[in-house]
Amino acid sequence: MRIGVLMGGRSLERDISLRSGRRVSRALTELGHEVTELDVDERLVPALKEMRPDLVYIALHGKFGEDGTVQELLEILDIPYTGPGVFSSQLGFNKALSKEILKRQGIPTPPFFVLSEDTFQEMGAVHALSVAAEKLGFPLVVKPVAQGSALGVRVVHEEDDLPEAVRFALHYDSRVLLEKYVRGTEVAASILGNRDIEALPLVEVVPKSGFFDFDSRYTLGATDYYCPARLDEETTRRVVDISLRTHRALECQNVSRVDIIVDEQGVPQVLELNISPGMTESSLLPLAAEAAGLDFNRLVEKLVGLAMEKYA
Amino acid sequence: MSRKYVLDPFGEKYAHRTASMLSSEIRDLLEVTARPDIISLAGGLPYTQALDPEVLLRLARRVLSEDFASSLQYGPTDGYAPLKRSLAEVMHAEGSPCLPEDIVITHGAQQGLEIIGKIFINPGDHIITEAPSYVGALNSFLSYQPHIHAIPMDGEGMDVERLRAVLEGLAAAGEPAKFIYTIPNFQNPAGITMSTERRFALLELAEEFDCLVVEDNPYGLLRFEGSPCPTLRSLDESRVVYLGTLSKIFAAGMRIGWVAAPHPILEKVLLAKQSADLCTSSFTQRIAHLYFAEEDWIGQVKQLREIYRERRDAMLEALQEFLGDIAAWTRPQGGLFVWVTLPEYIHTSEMLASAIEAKVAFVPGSGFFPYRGGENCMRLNFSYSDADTLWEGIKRLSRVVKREVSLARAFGLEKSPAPRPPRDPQEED
Repeated sequence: MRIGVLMGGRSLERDISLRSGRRVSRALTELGHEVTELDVDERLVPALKEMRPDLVYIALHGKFGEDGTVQELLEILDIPYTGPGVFSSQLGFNKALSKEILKRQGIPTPPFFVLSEDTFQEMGAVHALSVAAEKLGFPLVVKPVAQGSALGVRVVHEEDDLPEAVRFALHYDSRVLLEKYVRGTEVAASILGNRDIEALPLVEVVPKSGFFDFDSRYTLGATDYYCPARLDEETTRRVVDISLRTHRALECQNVSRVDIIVDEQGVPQVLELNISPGMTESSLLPLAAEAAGLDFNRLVEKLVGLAMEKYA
Repeated sequence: MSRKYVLDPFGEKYAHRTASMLSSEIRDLLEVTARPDIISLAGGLPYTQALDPEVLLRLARRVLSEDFASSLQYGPTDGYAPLKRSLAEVMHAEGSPCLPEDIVITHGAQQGLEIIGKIFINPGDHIITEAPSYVGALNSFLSYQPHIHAIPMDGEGMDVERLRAVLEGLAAAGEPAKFIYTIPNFQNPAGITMSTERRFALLELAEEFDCLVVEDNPYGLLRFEGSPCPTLRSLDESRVVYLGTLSKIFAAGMRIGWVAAPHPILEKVLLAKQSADLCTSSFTQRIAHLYFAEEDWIGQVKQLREIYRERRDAMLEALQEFLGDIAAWTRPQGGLFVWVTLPEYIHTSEMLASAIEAKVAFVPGSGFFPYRGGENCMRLNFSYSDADTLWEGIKRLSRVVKREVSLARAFGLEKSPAPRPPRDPQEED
């Protein structure tokens, strides 16, 4: 097949995306495809029109690549692409919206509030922070609503540090999420499939710094991973069940990665869903696939197969 | 059965000094700035386009036709002898007389820094730098695990009163400082030049407390305003280790720098260099030699000064126009950088993500401090972009800064006063 691999772009996760993309394109070449790497810029559409690929592999992370933007463009151009469609991408990248949907479907997710920059600039929302914090309790996590790789995320232990953390997150998106911090075991469930979906073995994440931030994610050796996660059978079953429900609730196809905390009572709570999981050497989806006996090339092949099936 | 996946199976084998070498969010963010639609004021790149390609082609051809085999061969560790003579002339031109035998050629001044770390620093040793200081020097030194004492600067360079206090404290504790590292001219990142008086004072302190001075002088010849100050080496050859480079006056890609030092130190430098890389490239050393021996390199430096002065002026004018009421900045008399100080409530490393979104980039100040400091500062480069681009870049930056101010207001933080820049007494006010 003629496959264009979209990577790079101008998102803050450009570098991560380039790492994912190069790895994917090497795999696709080894699998015998005719591969063109496309670093996304204003020449993308003309390049795609000229190339007329059979499939586009989206190895983009973050804004424009993961939020439905590029997906919409590919829909217009009638080019098949990997990963979930426009709607799921929009939902997945917006942590506020996806959490709201999960809540409505009865899928446990930590309690949260969302505040926009405007509420601070125009309505004095800074004076609501302590009220919100009181309702959620400390510690709490402050995140930009739409951003990946834990960029702009901070754990806050006391009220004095809260405004600073909110201001920090506002550099990464114009909306922030205040979420109750749940202590427990952090696991990632990678889901594959279209009509029939399956979860790969769960990956348990144990960052040495105690917090799975950007540096812990991308410095080899900064985090320990266990696969399958060290959970009992019953808990594992519950986690898998919840992640499959999450994948369906956001109407995902092909692939997604659901990040979950199993709290101290053994209840899995969904933190977020990623529609373009990382494919770097330290990423969770390839690790889970490997544990399932699927090496990196076969994982890529499977993702391509699932994408084509969607258009069959 | 659950298995522990070890992504780096060599984790137990690394030396302790690698502990400070981590992936960094800032570094990844700056990766984005290589995109052409982003105006990057972040780099430290000299303007190599000012060189004449015909000249370089001619020189490269001559090296290959006249000196083919030896230009592709290993060479002496201390450097290609004819080039050492040229470098002695370069030092002479900046008022720092020097003999070729006082020089060891290195792979850029960066290798000189690395070697200085290697031959002088034991873990736990005390060394002194300016605050802020060149990040490449800090990283080279930090990998040898010293305690770094960063001394603040005012408009005349390192604060010698503070320096004295630190040197006294260390001496009293029986752990005297090994060396003082300084970039006296148009300092990277601050753009400040150490006054002549201060140079004497610093050398007196070095003598009193018996420590070495490492003088890093990459930009000395790029002075486009005011009169030159004597190099520290020219004032006291006996305790100054001097680092020079052709990167800013010729071409960074040649990777040619040098160390000039007292002979016992030079011998250690030579041995350390030998184990690091045997020798600097024979090929580029020959090209550089022909360039400095036969071409009008002084004319080229004059041209660079003109270009850089024009660009500095454009940047300062834009700063005045767009950020005059919010920020303070240094007014460099040469070199490549302006140091901008914003109100204390603005954290430039946090602001970087918004800036990239607005298609402009800078280097956050905190990276230029060994431990803490400079959170509200940033380094801007003016050498690499033309005047119009600089103007547009500062305009974009000002929008980002203004949003910071209004955000800070919304968070009730904008109480701290507008910053004052370090003043250079030489400048007309």
